[in-house]
Amino acid sequence: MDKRGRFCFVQVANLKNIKMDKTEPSPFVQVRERKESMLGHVLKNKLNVLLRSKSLIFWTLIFPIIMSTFFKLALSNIATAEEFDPVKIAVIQNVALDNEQNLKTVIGELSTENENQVFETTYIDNEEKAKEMLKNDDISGYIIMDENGKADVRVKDNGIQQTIIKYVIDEYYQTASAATQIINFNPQVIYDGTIQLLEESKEYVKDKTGNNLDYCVNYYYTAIAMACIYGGLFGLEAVKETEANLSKRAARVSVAPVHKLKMLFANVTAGFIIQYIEILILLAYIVFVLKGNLTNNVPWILLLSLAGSFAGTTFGLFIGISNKKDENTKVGMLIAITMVCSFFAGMMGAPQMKYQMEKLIPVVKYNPVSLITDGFHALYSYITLDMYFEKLISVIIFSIIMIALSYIFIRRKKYDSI
Amino acid sequence: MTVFKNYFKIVARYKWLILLYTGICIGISILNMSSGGNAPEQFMENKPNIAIINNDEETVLIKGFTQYITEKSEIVELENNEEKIQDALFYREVDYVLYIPENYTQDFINKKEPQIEIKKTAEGSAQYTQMMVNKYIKLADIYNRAGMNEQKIVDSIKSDLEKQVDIVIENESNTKSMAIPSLYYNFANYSFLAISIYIIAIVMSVFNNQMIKKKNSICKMPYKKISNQLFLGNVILILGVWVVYVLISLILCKEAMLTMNGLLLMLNSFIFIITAASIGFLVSSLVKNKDAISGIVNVVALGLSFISGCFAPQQWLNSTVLTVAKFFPSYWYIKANTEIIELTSYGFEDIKSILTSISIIFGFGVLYVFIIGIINKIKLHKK
Repeated sequence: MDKRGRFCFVQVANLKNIKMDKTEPSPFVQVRERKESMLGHVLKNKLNVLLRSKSLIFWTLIFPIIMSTFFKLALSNIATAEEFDPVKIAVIQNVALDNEQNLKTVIGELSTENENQVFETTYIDNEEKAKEMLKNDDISGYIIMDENGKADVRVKDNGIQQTIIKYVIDEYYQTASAATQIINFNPQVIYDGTIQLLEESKEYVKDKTGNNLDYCVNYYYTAIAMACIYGGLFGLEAVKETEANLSKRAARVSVAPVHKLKMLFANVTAGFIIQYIEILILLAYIVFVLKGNLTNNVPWILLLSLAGSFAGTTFGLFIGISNKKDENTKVGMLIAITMVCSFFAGMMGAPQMKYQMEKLIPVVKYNPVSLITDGFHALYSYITLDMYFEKLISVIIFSIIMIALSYIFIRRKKYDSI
Repeated sequence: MTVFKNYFKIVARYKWLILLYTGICIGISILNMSSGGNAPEQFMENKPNIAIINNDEETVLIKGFTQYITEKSEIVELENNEEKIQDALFYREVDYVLYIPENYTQDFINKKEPQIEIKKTAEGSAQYTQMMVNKYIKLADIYNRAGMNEQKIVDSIKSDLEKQVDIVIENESNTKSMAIPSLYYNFANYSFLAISIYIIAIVMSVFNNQMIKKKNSICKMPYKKISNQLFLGNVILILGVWVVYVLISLILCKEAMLTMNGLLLMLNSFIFIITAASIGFLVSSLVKNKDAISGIVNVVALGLSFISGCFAPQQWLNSTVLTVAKFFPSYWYIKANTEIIELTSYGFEDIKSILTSISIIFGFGVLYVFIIGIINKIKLHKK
């Protein structure tokens, strides 16, 4: 094409552009006017265009914000729901119980309201009523003394609450047995105070649990990771704007005297910048509005988000370049893949699910959403940063693979006819 | 039935998309089910999961202690790697980790009062483990102070711990055998909503095309008839999905599904998917933009699933959220499921509340169809 021909084409393209879409500035015309800073211009225009795309902004920003709000709404009770609640029991008042004053005292002590409270006890006169309460789940079990002075525990189900009831009653008898044994072995213990130790409560273990066991944060991490990978939509958009068979504008652009990779690079960079800003907004929203306690290592979070955004953009790039389906299908593919990955990262289920799934099918933890989520998790949960860096590097490697594959597909692509 | 027939012609055009989407949703349900089995809270085993990291020798005391713990709990083998341990606690694979320090037995016998370090979750089973561990060491400590040797200590404690009360289980519920199907059917809340809205909205977008709508509105057939036939088409398509879903559950957990509880689960999901279809129909009559469909699918399906307790149990949700959730069919679906799996007797009184929930779900469906009618009427008059 000679110089004049090219000029004509520009004119036509320009006219067409004005007619079709007044709001979107054509990168092409300005390229001709100021060739020297073309990259900057394409970038600037691209940013403008992208910011006006409602569906892009929805998926990459609004949707993650909605999701994290749902997490907040749905899971704000987890921490309290999980804590140990006193076990609700009933004790049948009868003559046999009156004979067993010690047991009465023990249950009474355990039912006192303080931080070590184990039981919430109701005393009732007849067993029928207790059965009724058990049936309606008002109590986890009830204790009844039989004529021989032996305690019976009646429950409806197997469970930790019921196990605790049994445990306490067992312990009552076991302590009595221990007292007998020890006095038989060495009567001295009565005088030197050793026997009193049986009554005392003393901690023989030292708790070194950190407090980073709150798994609600994992849901926020999945939301951030999901948002990162949804950034793939920007990658797709970039491809759409450069591959001549995908959009009219790309067809025009591809006859321009601009290297295709340069063009693609500008488009991808613009998408990546917006994507990262969106992630920062999402992070700010989670921390300041939802009061999610992510972790204090702010720089590392920002770094992983950056790598994550990059992984997302390059992932979209790969999906866009690797196949010739129409745009809607590609968007559908990207969204579906991201949702499945988010599922593997533990977004849609109890936290144990992710753990069990990874044990069952270990390969699922190498999907990008899980990698980013696990990186955040490592930051939150582990003392050292080793695991964090492992995940960070995996995310970067993922991006490099995506770029390499995309390059193989895009290289030397020319069109005879589109 | 021209419209009805045409509906399925369009379905045929989208068959791959429909199959793919249905496949993904059902696949996720199956994975969710197979990873479960130890669903939190309500199906808690009475044996806590414990890991023991022993840095001491295999002494008599340690052996006796470990034996006791093993009897009372599920021992989970963990690598002595802080990150693995932290993960196991974080994801509640273990409730309690014991670190027995070096020379523990020696120091213990010499009354140096060594301490076992532990890590635990905040759950009830961790509390219980703490009680067990303390009890054993306390007894050992007292026997030691009384002057017994190691072997005698272990034997004495053993005989103490044999004293146990009988525990009588009255009308045991079958939550355990129903645990796996319940995971699958609870997840159906998400799958059914996502599939219904997506598929119906995609197919209906063809009929909602401006030109076709205009053509339809001047044809001889009354508008209501067209709308009814389309709805029928939607319902039949969605019922196909339901049949597949139920068949899979029958193949995977045949025994549990062929009980009364299983049949009730199926009934509940049947009514729910009809209501889900009406939601899909409603969405398709509200939304014109095809791009917006996948957005709405995810927000509606994931949102309702979260606030109604499909992913995390209802008792985890706070009361305000649950109150809001009551205005949507998902809440009643999950509520009915939860009650169904706990059912042990099947008199009318027992299943009354389940039937109420199911009727409410159906009521929602009727309500949505009614709203669709109103919307269509308004739209028609506008034109």
